[in-house]
Amino acid sequence: MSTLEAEWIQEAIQGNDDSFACLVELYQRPVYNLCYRMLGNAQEAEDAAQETFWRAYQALRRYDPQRPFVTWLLSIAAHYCIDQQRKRRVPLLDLDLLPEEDIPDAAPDPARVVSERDSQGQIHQLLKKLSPLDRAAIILRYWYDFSEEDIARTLSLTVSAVKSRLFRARRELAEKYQIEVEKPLVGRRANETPSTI
Amino acid sequence: MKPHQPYEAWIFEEDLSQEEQQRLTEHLSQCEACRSLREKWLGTQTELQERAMAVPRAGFTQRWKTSLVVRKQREQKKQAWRVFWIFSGVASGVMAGVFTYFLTQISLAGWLELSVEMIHQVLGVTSSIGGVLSAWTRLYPFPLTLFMVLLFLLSLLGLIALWLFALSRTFQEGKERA
Ligand SMILES: [Zn+2]
Repeated sequence: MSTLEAEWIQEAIQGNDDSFACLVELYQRPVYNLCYRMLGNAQEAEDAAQETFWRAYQALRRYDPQRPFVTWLLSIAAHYCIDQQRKRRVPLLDLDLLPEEDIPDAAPDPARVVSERDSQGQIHQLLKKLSPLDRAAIILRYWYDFSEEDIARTLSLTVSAVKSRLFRARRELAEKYQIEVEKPLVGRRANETPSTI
Repeated sequence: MKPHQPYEAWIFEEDLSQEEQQRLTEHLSQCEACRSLREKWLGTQTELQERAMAVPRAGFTQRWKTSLVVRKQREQKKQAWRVFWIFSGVASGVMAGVFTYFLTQISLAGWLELSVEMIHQVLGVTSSIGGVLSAWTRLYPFPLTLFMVLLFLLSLLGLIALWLFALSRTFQEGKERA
């Protein structure tokens, strides 16, 4: 952790919102990416990332400085996204929480560019088929280079549970990988947008 | 399926010992099913390791700052309601306690007597207020009455404004502290 970052955290704990905004600026990408990989949709990822920072903001006093700040944030994001996915079975719309800026802009934004390039691989599609917890383990392992111990701590699991989840998820991905490849993809890919991934 | 174990598990294992690696290679050379699974996994792994990072729409931090204000206000409101409910809960609890205490202390006859007395007193108060009011309207012309009523309403409004001001001050303080 850099001294500047530690300073921002300290100031944020003391109530400085600008310092916290600096932390948001610094960590928006890893947090957003995790939410995007977990939820598979740009708008939901935006909301989840904002919610993650709000939860971190509220729980800042409980942050343990021994742990990297980004790991702590990712842990909040992962738990939130897993909960969201579980709740999805019971659709419940909280109007109060809808974002004010919800108009998709026509300009190609980076998130869209990345996801379109990404969707040429099958991974994004395949990830969707895993259970939320398995998906989180895979994302943390491959996008964030987390060790099994790190994943266990982040997802509040035991290391052996992480091992078996990773094994199951890898197997599932590998098995479905071929199924996807064998399908003719030409027609489907043409109308793929981030919201359908 | 069983004869493919432990090789099937080893395909997905990241750190195999040299011996395990050797045994796996041997098995793969003989087993079509495991070979195909391994190929599929290698393809998946390659894509996983490409790991493009998705990036939020420009202005994420600005949107955070804007939403922070709204979220804090919402939290403050929630807090106020929480305090209100706790207060009402405690108040009604105390009242219920006092009520049951009296209920056990006073006999039914005593209760009847007490309620009759209370009704009598309430009636007395209302009739005396009515008396004062009718005397007032007899003594003073209508505009003055209207003026007094307005004065009363204005002072009520003033009190409400004062209360709202105090509320906004605590709100501000809470925001600064948060
Ligand atoms: Zn085999």
